[in-house]
Amino acid sequence: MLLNIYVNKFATITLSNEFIYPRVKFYSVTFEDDVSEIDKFFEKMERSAAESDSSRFIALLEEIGNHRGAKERYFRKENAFGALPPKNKEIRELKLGSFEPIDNWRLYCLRLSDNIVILFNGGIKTTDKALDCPTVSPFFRQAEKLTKLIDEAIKEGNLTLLSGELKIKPGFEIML
Amino acid sequence: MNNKPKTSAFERLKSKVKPHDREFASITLDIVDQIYDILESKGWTQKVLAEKMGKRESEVSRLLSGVHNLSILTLAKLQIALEDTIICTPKRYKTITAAQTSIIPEIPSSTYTPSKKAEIGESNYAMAA
Repeated sequence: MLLNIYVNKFATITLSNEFIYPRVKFYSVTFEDDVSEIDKFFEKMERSAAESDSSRFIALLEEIGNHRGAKERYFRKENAFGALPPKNKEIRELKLGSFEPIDNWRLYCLRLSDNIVILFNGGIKTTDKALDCPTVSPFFRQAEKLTKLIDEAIKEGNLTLLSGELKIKPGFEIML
Repeated sequence: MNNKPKTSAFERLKSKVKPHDREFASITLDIVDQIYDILESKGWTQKVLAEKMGKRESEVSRLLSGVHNLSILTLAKLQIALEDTIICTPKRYKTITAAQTSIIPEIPSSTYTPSKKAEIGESNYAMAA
């Protein structure tokens, strides 16, 4: 007999002090009793990226955070997310992009405004299309799910975009 | 017992960022912002720029990603396609502004009187246009 049991996973939107910059707050997502997705990404980068690659990657992230703001032009839009319907006026700018400072590293994220970005997870892309890549496709799909759920949370008022920060309703969790 | 605070991977990697990578990020985003400003002032899209450069839009998008190490040749091609200047060295800028002051007609009410005669390479007008 086969049992198909779905276990819901819960996640919260978190913000660490180290990701608060004068121009941008880089939020992330943390699953129950775990480190945040962005911490996992950088742990992976520390283990396997060339030091020159991680140096360029972080320099760019800091330049955007300290001086530029998260302008749309700095984020690459993933084609697969082009079909996301902008149902709510407030989230018309929602775009999921891969932040691409170095050739094959992909960090999936959701840019909500010039001041608010939610960083997910990623890795080294080994194929042309993210969905064909065994390394990044799980993170790509995860980012897609999280984006849809965050989109709903904004519409339902659980998340509110304020100027410069994301107001999170107390006790709000994302259920995957 | 080790009481040292545990640092995150991000903090550890951040401490190893090279000064030239910070400079690269700053310069490259200056260039990207400048190109977008020119496109906006001309009412052009990336697609128009791609057509003028004889490239695919995806290639131009990659050039403008902010992470591409643009060569001087590519910058020259971009300047030709955009019909505008993207980068200008301080020395060149001084020469250009000095040349501009010589062709600007004098308007008595707004003419700046220099304390000495301007020499080549010096500008009397900070942003003469």
